Amino acid sequence: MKRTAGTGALQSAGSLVILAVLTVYFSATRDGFLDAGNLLSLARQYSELGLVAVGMTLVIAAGGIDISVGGTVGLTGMLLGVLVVHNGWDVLPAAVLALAVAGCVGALNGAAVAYLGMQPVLVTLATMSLTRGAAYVLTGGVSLSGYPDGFTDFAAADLGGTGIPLPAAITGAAFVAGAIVLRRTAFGRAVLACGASPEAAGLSGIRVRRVRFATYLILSLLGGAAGIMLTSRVSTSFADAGRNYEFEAITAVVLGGTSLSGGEASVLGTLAGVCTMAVLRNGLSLAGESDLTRTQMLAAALIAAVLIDNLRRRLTA
Amino acid sequence: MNRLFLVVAAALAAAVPGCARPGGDGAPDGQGRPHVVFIFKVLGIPYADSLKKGADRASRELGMRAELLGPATGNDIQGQINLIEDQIARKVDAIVVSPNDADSVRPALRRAEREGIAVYAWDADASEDARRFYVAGCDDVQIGVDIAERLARDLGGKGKVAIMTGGLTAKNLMLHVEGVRKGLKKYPGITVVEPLLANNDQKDQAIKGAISILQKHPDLAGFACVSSPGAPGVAEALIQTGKAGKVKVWGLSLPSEIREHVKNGVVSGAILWNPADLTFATAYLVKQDLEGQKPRDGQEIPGVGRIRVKGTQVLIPGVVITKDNIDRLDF
Repeated sequence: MKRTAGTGALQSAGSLVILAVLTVYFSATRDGFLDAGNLLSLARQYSELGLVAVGMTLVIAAGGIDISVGGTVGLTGMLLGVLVVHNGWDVLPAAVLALAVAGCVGALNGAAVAYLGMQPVLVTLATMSLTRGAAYVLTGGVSLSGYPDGFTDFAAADLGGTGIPLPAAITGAAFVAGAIVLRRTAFGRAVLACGASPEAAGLSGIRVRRVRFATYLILSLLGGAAGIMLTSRVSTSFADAGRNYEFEAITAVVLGGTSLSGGEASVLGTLAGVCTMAVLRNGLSLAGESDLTRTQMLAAALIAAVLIDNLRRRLTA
Repeated sequence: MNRLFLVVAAALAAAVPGCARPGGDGAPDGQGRPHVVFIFKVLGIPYADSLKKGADRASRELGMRAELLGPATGNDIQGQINLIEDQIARKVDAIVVSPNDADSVRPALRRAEREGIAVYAWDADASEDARRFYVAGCDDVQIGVDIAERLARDLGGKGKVAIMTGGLTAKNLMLHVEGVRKGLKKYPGITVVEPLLANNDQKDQAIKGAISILQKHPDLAGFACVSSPGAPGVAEALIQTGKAGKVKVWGLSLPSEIREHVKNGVVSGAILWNPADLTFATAYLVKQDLEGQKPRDGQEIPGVGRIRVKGTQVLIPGVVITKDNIDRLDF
């Protein structure tokens, strides 16, 4: 089956249309949706998931998948808490160490998948249990709070008084960087090539294993960063942090036009996917709809997105 | 193709900020009713359904718009934080929360007060500096002691006991457990087995936890459950393992969810309050507070009874549920 690397744009446009439709619908029917404060608050809430979604785009583009990143988010946050709150470390060195641990998880995933040839779902299923379990074991499930004000102010801050939340700005920068890397760098092209056809990529001189390893490492590092950011935003480390992030990130990626089998990806499409999910949740929430409705609608959106993806590939094959 | 994408994206980016109105519409709604949102720990369990009845009654009888929201899955700390932030964006008049984790929601609650939203806690407490007052159906520690006492008496003062809670971080549950341990300590013949079982407010996890502890301690004599899905879950587990009636269970559950088990002797009883009454009473006091009046000790709340007020804690009357009175209780 012929697959052209990197042309998920048709689907990306589709996700933008969905986003536009939802935005118009909710603006018309929900009081307070188009409020600047509401939208900025929404952006802040989805910053952490956004970071993870960028990384997930790369992993999926290279032909893999990672369901452990939510656990990494939780573990990083808890580790930060144990170091800072329990042991009095300064935030910066603790964050660096926590991030390093996240990197180790990514390296573990990457090594098992890329160098040992194990199935990504199985590997990351195992690391998901490992990381989430470790997050719980660190304090027996007890949350940690008592961070220095400077740290918790970080996520509450705005970008130089513009009103744009700092976490959202950081995630926005990550999206821009991700898009540039995927389209305009040799690494990005290699990622897409590995996803489209590992054999062809290998034959044309790409170090497939190294590229795949790198995507897992990047995703876990982004997950670690998200864990730290989330901890700052709620000024508490809790073991359940990042729960379901992998499901939501994969949904956003697929909604945005990236093919689950790899080779076609769009970081900006993922951004549209994240925005769609944020808008959907907010729109439902503003009407007082329960979380159950949102979960059902998200599941429906994911199924629709996967079906469209399948259909599109069949039509262009 | 990429160009189409960019065009649509640019159009969207231009249109949205252009329409965004700073300040937005605030509640109260068009009819001037206060908008009070209750955020519980989880939806979809009988206790939550009962709470909702109280909110509905408050909407009908108190001239307010009362809603009950909550995350879809058990112990979803992040879900609750997101819900609180959503209510801030909706500019409601009051938020009443039963936190899965008091520390995690504290920043969001304090931000709500800063934005002019009145914040209260009910069912489980939040940090004292994050809510105006806390309404409970019991003294959080004493109810644990009472459950322990009744279980101990059922066991004749000796045997191995397992304690089951809901989420590990909810303040009310932690205090209930403290009460149970305190109550059982008075009986030297009773040993509490570890670990503390946590069912995260989900019945299926209660069943699993109970089965696993029964495997670990086949001579277990009793269960003390402090979260509502505990007793029904443990009862199922006992029936499944053939130990119903031989192992004693005391819990903190709705009569409606343990009715058959209590009548069949699988569960000895429970101590609770009517969750609908708890919510209604809280709504009543919230409305009173929004009008400038604090809760008064001994104040009578229609359909609920007299409340007791200690500092910023309010207690509504509770009830001990056994075979003798369960049929008279309709919640």
